[in-house]
Amino acid sequence: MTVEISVDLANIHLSVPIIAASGTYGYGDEYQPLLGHQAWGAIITKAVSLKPLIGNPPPRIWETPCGLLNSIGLQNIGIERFIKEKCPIYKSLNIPVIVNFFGFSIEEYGEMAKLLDSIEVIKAVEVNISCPNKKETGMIFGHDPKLTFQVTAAVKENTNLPVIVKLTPNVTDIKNIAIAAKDGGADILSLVNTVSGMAIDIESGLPRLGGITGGLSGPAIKPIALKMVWDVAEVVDIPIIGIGGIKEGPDAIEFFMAGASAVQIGTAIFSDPTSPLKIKDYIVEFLKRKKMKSINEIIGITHQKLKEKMERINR
Amino acid sequence: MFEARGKIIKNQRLSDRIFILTIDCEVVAKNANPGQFVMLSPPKITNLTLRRPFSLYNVIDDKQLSILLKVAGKGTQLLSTLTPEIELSLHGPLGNGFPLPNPSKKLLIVAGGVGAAPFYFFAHKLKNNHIKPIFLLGGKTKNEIPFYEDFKKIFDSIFITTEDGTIGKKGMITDYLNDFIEDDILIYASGPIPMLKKIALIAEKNDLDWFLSLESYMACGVGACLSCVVPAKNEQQKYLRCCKDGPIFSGKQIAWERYDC
Repeated sequence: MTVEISVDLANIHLSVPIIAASGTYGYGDEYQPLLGHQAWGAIITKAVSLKPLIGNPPPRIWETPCGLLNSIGLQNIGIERFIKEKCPIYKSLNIPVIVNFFGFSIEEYGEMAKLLDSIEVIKAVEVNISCPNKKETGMIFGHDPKLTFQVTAAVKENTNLPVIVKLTPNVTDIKNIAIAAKDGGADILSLVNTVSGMAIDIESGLPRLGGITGGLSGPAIKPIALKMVWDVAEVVDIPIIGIGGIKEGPDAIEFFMAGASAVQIGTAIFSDPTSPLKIKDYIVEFLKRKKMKSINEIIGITHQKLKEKMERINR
Repeated sequence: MFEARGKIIKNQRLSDRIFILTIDCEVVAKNANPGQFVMLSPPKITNLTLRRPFSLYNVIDDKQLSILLKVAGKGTQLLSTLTPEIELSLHGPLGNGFPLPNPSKKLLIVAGGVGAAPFYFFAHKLKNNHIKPIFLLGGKTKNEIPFYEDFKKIFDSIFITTEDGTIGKKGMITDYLNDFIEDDILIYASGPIPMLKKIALIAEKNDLDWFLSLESYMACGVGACLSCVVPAKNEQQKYLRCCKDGPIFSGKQIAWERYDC
């Protein structure tokens, strides 16, 4: 019996519902000599901005129990060099390449979307809204429903590519942000970005990270991320990509059941670059064991199961 | 670079905190060059998130590799307990490796503590090329450089210091460095940042070329995640990736004044 694990999100066909998360996989070319890209349904590039950014001073990472704090500071080569140096590499890949990008003003997001729209090898954009609006109040776009709406709309106006909006977990109520992104025209939501965190060197009394605070990823944040996917799946009907601490097959299954149509793997590839392959194999075996024909049969199933259970109890 | 499995052949405890771990891993061993490194995964990664980078201490018969390990935290503690037959995952060889020095130049190698690791593998390559360096090794105390015996066997000319005088001359290796400086001498160095900073000053004053091996906290080891960066002199590219642009750098590439330690 064969099982179908491919999914279609907006216009993106993923032969495997597993995507390399932005930031952990560079521009895609760095990991290629190690494993090729066979493990992935798609890859998402490191975040790109209009101008190059040098990033934060080191140390940029600090390992925590079951987690990783990072403060890379969005270092990137800028859109011009990205188009010139990296996009040609993507022509030879037979998997979709999704570009993660950000801006420091709503206009910059629009401008970036326009520039990326014209590049044939790019199959979708993922909008990073976890950075500050430097032009105005300095507030992080993704912390505010109105700014989230405006950014998404600006991107949507400037591209025909499928638009994924990547949500930050560092908010009071992620449902409001998710709805705002959807209303702004998002085709897909991906969640969550890293959770704000910090570590202190008790000998020196100084922060462990050169950037002072950072973003936590890895298994430590999985329950937080899962709950947010669960919440967002209750309020929007567009596809969700689950991200946050997925390390092994069962982790991915949980995200599908909570309502994700695909997952991203990031930090897990550091401890095991073959983890996406293992997760893929686990998903196939799991579906076979459950006598299911398609991954679609488990997407959001927990919402249904819980509803049925509540009905039984209340009968 | 390869993603591989390796089997522990030997775990030698040299002193309290220093170990040599020998791993059977042909695909990495036979492709490795001195100065390169591997990322080792502590087996049954419990609550650890990252692999650990280690310079290659030696490659034996193109089949086995060894690393010099100093217990410094949870990861190295776990790795130090490995016994023969245990398998672990790793990827490598990674990074650029040492350039082969011009045989016409005099070569001075300066190593501090376990920073000496890549020079043992490098020594074999130098020998094959008939290059005879002067090797300077410094440590806090004898127990911190118990591998000096290995180095004595492979370098004809070796000078040792310890801060407490338990072996060799008393003091830091950099206290004696000026005695070895000659016009046009080439320096290769690896060790703590304060040591490298002192060498940088001496190299600059005497207008000498030098190369060094750096370490940094790393996540991917392949140049993707931009975690392990070090400050670069080149203003265009404010940071260099230790894993991919290094770990071997020319002393002139690094902005030592911005290097925090």
